[in-house]
Amino acid sequence: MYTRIKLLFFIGIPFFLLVNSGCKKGTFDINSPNPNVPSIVPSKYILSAALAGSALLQYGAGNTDILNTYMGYLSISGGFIPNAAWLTYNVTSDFGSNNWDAGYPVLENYIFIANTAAKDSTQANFLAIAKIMMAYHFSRLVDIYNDIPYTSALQGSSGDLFPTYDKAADVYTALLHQLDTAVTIINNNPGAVNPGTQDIMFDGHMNLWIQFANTVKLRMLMNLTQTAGGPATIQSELAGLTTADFIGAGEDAIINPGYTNASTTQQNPLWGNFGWGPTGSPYINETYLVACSYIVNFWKNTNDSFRPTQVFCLNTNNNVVQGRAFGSNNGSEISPSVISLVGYAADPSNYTSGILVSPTAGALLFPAFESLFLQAEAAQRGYLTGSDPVALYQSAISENFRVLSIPNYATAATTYYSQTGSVANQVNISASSDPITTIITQKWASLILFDPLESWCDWRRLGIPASLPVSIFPGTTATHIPYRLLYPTSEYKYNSASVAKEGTINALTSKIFWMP
Amino acid sequence: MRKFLSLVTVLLICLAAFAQTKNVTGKITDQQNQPVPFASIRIKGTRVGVSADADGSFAIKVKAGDVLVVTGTGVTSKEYTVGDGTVIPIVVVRKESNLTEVVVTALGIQRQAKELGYSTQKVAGKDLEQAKPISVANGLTGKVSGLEIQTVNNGLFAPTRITLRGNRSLTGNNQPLIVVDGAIFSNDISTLNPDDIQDITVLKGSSASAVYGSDASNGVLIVTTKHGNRTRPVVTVSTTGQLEEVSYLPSYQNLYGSNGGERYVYDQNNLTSYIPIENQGYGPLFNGTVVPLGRTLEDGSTLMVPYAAVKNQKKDFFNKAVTTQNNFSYSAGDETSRFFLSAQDVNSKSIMPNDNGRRDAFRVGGSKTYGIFSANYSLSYTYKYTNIGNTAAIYDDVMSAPANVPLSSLKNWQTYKFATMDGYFNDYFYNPYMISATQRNQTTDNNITGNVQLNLKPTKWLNFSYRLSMNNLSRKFEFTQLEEDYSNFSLTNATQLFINPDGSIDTNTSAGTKYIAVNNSLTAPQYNTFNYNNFLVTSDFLVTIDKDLNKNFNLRVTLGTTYIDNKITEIGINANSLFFPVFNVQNLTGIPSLANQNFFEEARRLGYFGEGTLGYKNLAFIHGSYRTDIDSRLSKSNRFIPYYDLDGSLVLSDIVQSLGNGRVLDYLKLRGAYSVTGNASALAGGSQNIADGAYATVPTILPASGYGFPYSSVGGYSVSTSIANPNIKPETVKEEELGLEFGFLKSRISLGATAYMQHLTNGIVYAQIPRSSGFDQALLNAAQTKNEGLEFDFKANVIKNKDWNWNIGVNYTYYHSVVQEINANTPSLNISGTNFQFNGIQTGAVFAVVGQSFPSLETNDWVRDPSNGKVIVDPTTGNPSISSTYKNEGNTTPKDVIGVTSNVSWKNFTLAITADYRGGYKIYNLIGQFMTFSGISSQTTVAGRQPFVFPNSEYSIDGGKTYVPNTNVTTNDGNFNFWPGIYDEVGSNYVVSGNVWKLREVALSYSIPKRIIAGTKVIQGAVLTISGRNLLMIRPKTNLWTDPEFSETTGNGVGVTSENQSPPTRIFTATLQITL
Repeated sequence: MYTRIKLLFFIGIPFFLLVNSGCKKGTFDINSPNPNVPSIVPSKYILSAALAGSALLQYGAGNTDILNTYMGYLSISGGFIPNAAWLTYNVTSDFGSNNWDAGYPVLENYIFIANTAAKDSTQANFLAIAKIMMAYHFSRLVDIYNDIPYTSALQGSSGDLFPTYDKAADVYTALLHQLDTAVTIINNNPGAVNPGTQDIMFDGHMNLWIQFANTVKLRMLMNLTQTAGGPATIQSELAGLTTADFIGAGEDAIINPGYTNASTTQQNPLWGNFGWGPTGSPYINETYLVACSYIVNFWKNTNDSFRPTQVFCLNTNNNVVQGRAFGSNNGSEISPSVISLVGYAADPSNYTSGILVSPTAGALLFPAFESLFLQAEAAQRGYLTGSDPVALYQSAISENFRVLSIPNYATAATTYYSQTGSVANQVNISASSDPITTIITQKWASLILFDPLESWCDWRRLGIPASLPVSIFPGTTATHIPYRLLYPTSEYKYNSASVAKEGTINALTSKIFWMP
Repeated sequence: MRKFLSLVTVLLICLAAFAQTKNVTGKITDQQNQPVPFASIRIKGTRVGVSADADGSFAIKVKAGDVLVVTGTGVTSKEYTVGDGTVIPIVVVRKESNLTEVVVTALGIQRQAKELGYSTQKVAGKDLEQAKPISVANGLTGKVSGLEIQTVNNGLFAPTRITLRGNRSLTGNNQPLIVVDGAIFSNDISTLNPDDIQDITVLKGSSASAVYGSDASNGVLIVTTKHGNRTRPVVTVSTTGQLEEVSYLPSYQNLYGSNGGERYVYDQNNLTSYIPIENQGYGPLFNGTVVPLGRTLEDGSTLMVPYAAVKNQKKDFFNKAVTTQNNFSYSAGDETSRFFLSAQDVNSKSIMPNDNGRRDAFRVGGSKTYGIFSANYSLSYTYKYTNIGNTAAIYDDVMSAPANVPLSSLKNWQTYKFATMDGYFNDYFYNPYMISATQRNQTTDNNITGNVQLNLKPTKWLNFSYRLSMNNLSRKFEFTQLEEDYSNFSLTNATQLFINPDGSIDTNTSAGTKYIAVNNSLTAPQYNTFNYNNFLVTSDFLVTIDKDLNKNFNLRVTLGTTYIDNKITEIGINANSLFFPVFNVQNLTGIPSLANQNFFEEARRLGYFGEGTLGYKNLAFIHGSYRTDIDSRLSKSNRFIPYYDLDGSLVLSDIVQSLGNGRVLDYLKLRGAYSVTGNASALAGGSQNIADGAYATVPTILPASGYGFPYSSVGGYSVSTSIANPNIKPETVKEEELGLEFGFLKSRISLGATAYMQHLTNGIVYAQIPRSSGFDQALLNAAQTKNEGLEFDFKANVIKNKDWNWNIGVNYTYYHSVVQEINANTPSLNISGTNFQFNGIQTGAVFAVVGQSFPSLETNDWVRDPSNGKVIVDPTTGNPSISSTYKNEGNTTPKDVIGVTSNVSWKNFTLAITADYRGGYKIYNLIGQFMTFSGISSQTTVAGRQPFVFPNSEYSIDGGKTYVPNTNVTTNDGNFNFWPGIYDEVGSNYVVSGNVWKLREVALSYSIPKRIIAGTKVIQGAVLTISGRNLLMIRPKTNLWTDPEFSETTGNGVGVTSENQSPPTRIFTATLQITL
């Protein structure tokens, strides 16, 4: 009896302990990869999403709304509880924070593409595109925030959760170099895999990517015109480039993954900000942000009968485009009967053209007219040898009229920019006593809703338009619009040690490095 | 019934056929008539013996004249000579009281209470179901110190949150592991039939549960189901009728009619015109005149009603809900086998119109012994069906209806012209009766659980056992919505009636069309559905050694392994628009959306464990356990993390004899425990299903649905903004526990006291990180919390004589959790998952905040003077302004909990009462904001709808330098331009103390005397019980809203109530139970 028990004891216990352990090798290796979502996808699928993200950053709600009001394009409607902080330039960390909080995650997708493609020369085109788009976004972040995390940014997946800040000028230098590298990569790898239709901006046309890279570079360089070493840098960076190397007429950088009116997330992002939902209900900004009297008056004063009705609708009281001063607290300027809303009709089903073309239209990441204005300035300043600033300027206005779908746009543009007399300095470069002011003024007038950040850059760099008004909201003490935005709350909350080194920042006095 | 009885007789005969000699059954009880479980009964002079079951019942084959020797731990031995009868009641004398109780501990190991170095408490099944709750959890409420059951909503099979010793983990699960018959139970506790439960042992701390390793940190509820008794067959049938009615409604005003700012909007203080189509109640005082309600219908008629409050207007909307319960059970056994079978049907209705549900539970359990081999098994199947409406929309509509709307007369929404979609008065909301009828959520659950345990006991001190068990939940969910369209008249008619200030009725022909007709969202039938399946299998091996090493030392050791495999699959389709109301996806128009609802997850875990107790002379005990797990979700380097417990107890009253011999104090035990346990449920977002966290450590690239992908021909994927962490480890919980147990006056009074401290480190959080890292959150082992508490249990047998017996129990719990760290640079973490918003303003949420209690409520507030807390108002408008930062309002779980139970019996009557108090916490009532918006809240009438001096306010006389108390500057409006739009946008206005006393259960039962039922022969006993639940709730006056126990979630972010929870109710039941 006893031996039987002993036997059971010595055989039994190990047996019992081992039976459950007798699991096959790999029994516990079932949780990677995740069978439901991928860990690896071809770069082209990340590229398409990243580009759609770039378009949303440019036009989505919460990104550029504030700048559209600062730059005299839009005003806050009556009939809403006044947002005093917005109306008095009492900039908080929450203002425009989407530029940062949504911007870096978009950049993460580009760096992911770059890191993947860097290991495989057949993916050279993806590497180049990622580098160009990163330069595009990082330069915009500098233009909004000055110093930003760059070299140690976007490293979260390798464990560096708390990036440190780089000097804005150093970031610019690095980005100019990255753009050159990207162009070299494309030129050196003609046989690399083409992203094709998943490249929802240029459809795999790598020559256009090269032109786009050069245009981004040109835009950054123009920001440096007023800096100490700027002219020399511009000269050397533009050496060898001609107008053919930039985005030219008809070559708008348009992103369109196939926008549809099927759901709110699938609409053209500008439509999704200022337009109507798939069922026809207006988005808040359709009524919250209305025409600003400053640009309406500018158009009136320069006899521009073409653009106002392509951008804003007529009020129903007296059939004119009616603006509202930024900061006005007139509560009756609320309805479409009094004040003009964005878009040219109150009924979304009537849309086929204008600034709100349709929910399915592509999003202009970089309109050709912006490139032409940049080239005109560079030519006027003598940095683009062999090119004619007048032709570039006139082509820019014509291109702006084209994207606003003005009928017979070329003729209309000619009529507009050929005016003489007291308006010449604002419209007619040939007759202008100050061609730079003429170029930048018209650039400002063209960029409405398309790219208020770029016109903000010009105002901060050159003070043009000089008559840009400040808010008339009671209690406004500022004498000019802000110079920059504050770092977002997320940085002060989660990256406090790094952002603290940037010191105290005042949106009305702290400058971007390239500001005079 | 006759057929049924003959079936029972056949079963009885079958069982009787096993008996060869005389078969007797008996029950062992103590001097207080309480059963003595697990005693052993041996025929003197032989080796023949059996052991009693948990009820003290036993069965044995004997001859008349045999002497039975009864021995058991903690009771004096007793000899009993068998006579002629076949039923043997044996009364033994307990040496001490509580210390000798046998307790089922982790892994189903039975230990004496005196051995335990940690805190446990047992609740008998009959105490659970004294007031006939439908869910087991409700029956536990108030009865155990340290155990908090929070019923977070009313309605069918009310959801509960169960915590032991409060909260430790910030984002992981804090609810205890539920073990049924030794196996992990993953189905909802509300699927258990309370009638099937023998008892529940509560292992309060992580020391008690340490052997469950990485699942152990939250304590364990060990549920033992009935497996039959060793007695003659017993059939029990019972039927219960239950009536549930609304007991409390949020405080609403009965003074003012409707106006939502339509007319005279710029003349704030004269906003007195009654608007017949409005849902907002900011109109003039009721005056009893007859006024139109709603618009004039297409046929030219207008509903005319008195301009006066309708009595019980809101209460009458809710049903008096009748629920029936029918129970059947059959229990039998002999010396080698036991058998139990039960069935229950619960047919439930709710106070919400059209809501109904059904639960059918079936269980078979039993055991059989063949020499050294024994087996027991349990199999249950529960069908659960619920059909509920859109509670929030309905409740909100009912509450916001102005007090003069005769709501209950508008019930016939399909036929009564003023109740139809077109005819309903409200321009902004649908008839709640129509919402209730047209939008339904149906959930059908099939739960199966089963386990088989095989034991081999080759010798007295050695036992091998193997248990295989499974849980399966298969769920089908369906949302259906009928199409309802407005008539062309409603879409185009722009005429409205309104009342001039002088009382005359006027017509405005260009007032705009019916708002909701234009914005109707019910224009197509809709169908959303998902299928969900959750399968858990566990396989356990145990070896138990129980040996007296010598005269003084006893050693008990258990070694084992446990393997778990959990698989979850789900697929769901939203067909947002159908052609016809035939609810199937194939009838949809357009493209169905998958809504991220197609997935498969699986995780596995293997644990090795051992535990042992060394006892010295039955006076001193030391116990330890050790466990390590291989978890498929964790990397190889994080396998084999050790979890352990060390605890001990000293029976001081036995060691120092003079202590126990006193006339007053008769026992005294000191105990202590230290343990290290884990919890990896934060990987699963707090879910108890291990599969839900299966892929948390794998970096993923997700479909870029936020950018609208996929488009028709272009796909798009984005890097997940959450950083996966392959090196994540389970959270660690260290617990220290000390306890004392006293017995006085021959144990008629007992007192237990426990103090504990739990420290959680490596807390798993999805920490917010700077976006410049490219991501927005990272899975990290970073958080630390500390959780301290005290538990007292007092029990007294106040009166004990022939006719009377009165037992009282009082338990008190104090607990407090503090967040010590979340992650570097992270001061707070949103636990609600979102910020609650009102009018687009973030008004509050539940947070973990470093240095504060957990969970902690934060809301926005008025701008205040930091030096004295006064509200700063504008010197000219008198209006306060809203602060853009959050204010910490305090913890949302009670710090002090008192439970009181009383059980009085007199002859055949028994009266059982349970009451409890929860205090020291705050809740946030979102419903208050909606009611202020709609002007129905009584809060909006405190100043008579006139401009008023904001209480406890001050203003500056010199632009912000000097402040003076405000005694004269009134708000510039006291009506529509103050309450909605200003007051309702401040969360702190709706934060109130959650303190509450509740009379949870009162149950009076009457056992019909034997002499009355004796004539029937068949009936062995009959008990009639009437009971009430939630009869009384005593709250501070500031709590105008609802039951503070309610919550938007059963997760960690409790403390916020809304109109998703229907109003508090009172429940009455009557039960007749007959034993055959």
